[in-house]
Amino acid sequence: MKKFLQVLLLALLAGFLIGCSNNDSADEGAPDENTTNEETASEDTDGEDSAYPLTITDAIDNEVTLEEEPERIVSLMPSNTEITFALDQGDKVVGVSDNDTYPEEVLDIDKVGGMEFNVEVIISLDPDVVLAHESLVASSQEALDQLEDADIEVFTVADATDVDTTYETIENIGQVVNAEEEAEQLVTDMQADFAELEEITSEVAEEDRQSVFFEISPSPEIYTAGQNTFLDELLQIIHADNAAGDQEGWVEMDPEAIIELNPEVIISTYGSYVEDPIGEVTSRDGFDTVDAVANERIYDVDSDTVSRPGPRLVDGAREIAEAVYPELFDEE
Amino acid sequence: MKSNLLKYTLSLAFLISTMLIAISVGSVSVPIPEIIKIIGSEVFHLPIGDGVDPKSISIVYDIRLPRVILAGLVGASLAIAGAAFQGLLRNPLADPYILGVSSGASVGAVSTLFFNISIPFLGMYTLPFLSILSALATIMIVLFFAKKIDKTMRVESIILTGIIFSSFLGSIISLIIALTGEELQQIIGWLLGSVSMRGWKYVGIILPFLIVGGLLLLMNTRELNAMSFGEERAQHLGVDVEKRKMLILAAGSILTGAAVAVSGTIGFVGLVIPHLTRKLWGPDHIHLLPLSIITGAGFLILTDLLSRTIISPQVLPVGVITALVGAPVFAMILIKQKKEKGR
Repeated sequence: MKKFLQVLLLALLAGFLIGCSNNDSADEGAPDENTTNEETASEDTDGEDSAYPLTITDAIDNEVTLEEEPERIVSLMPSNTEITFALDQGDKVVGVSDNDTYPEEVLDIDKVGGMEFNVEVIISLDPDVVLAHESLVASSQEALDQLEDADIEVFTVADATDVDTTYETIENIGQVVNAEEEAEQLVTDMQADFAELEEITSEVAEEDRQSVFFEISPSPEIYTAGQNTFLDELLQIIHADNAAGDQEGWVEMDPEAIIELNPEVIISTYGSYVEDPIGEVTSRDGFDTVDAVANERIYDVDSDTVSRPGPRLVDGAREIAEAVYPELFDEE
Repeated sequence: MKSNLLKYTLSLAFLISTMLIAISVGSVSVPIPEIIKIIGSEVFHLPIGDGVDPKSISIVYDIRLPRVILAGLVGASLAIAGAAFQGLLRNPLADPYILGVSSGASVGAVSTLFFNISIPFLGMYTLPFLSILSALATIMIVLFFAKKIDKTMRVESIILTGIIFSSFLGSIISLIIALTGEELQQIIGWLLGSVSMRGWKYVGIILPFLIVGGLLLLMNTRELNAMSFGEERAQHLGVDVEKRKMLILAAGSILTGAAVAVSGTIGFVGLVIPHLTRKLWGPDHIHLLPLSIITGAGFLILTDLLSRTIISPQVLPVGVITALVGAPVFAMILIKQKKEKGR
């Protein structure tokens, strides 16, 4: 029985790790695909407001045909939901995943499952389109197939791991929910906000650039974000350095190595489930020699805003920027 | 018959050399003379002299040293408990987790993480505290239950009871995992086992249990020898089988419970180290138990060292390394021994 448990755990962990690494590798391979999808998709609809029936190619090269403008939408991923709401189409969302928390309205919307989807519930909601996600394809292929068998249109949104791909997913969702103008506007606004952050932080002198260490999970298994993560990209935008920039993707770091890296700022993203995230860091033995601890420069940011590839990435970036360079934002 | 002196000298040499390497090597390598200076200044308040980076002091004294010592204590606890259980239950597949103690300790720990429990004055030690508490509760229930269904507490009854409790408690853990959200990674990380970032307090938590449990088992080595001929023979040899059995089961379970409470479920050590020690140095429990302590400690220190250096600065779960390193080593010893016998 013990064995069984261990096997189960290993399987879970493996799934978790593979999930993570898949995201990374998907990221490397994805851009070209996405752009081609994007092109074919936009060719279909160039010029006018989506004309029905509308055929769009999704992130896994499925052709999704919508007979008319969808009035009932089920979103299987919080980022899809957030984008749909940001496009002012939130009133059409009739089902969301268990993990959905934003905006507040989603709390009153029917839940269709978290890691595993309840196909029956989704079918009973009678959606015109289901917004799936590339990262779900591996784990929930059967469920998605069943939905398609039930004649429900499933549009798989690309698994964005950088800001540019996020813009593409916003435009894609804009097409599906018939809000292309809003999507364009949203992308323009996000670009402007990011440009503003970049502009403000560009005043930082080279020698004042801060090195930042992200903590995705608390001690003892301290995971951090290396290259090819949103967190890393957000740091680049705000002119800060990722202390773990030599690493790739999401990795568990040796605490000794963190002390040696000696980051000037530590930012945790686990405040939502750890009571005192800052105390968690400062109370660690041996961390008192780390600059971030000695200078009390430890902050917690909302993990959703920095991990969900949606409109709130800007908020996450701003929160990080204000934590890292408070002096630049006080003046405003 | 190899001489006892040789057995202990070689085992201790293994333990001491792994300790020295493990303290010196890591994400940051600290030369051994510097380590001696650091320990001298931290423990005996000797002047440290110039040229020692304060970060090195933090790393060696606050992080690496307690980690290495904790790994040693956990390895020792699991190995001696495994050796005693295998002897007592006359079952080569017995490991310290066989009585469901580790599942009990895990339920305590996983519930702490899941419900985010924090007992005011215990703070971050709530987890090991509740874990040990539920381990002790599990031992008592399991032994009580085994006694209830079979007054003489035959080996089969004990193993069966253990398996029933393991699977029951295991299903509770699976249930919690199924219900869990953001703490999933924490819970799985804990269940996979680790001695990282525990600090000196955890060393203090496990040490008394190791001393008490270890001494209890070491006092019963002759009885274990007698019982390996079968319980009836042992009874004829003047061993109070029932009482001793209870004592050994309780002591082994305490050791296991404390080890799981401070480090999670680290597999393989408790199963294989006793076998390995037996194959190398013979089945006499008088020497098997102390040698298992030394070998178990050295083995876990070594595997923990590998887990944090193989892909440094990233780390791997130590439980993965114990089996990855342990299984081939064990297979090699089995084959070698077979060849020697064949000649």
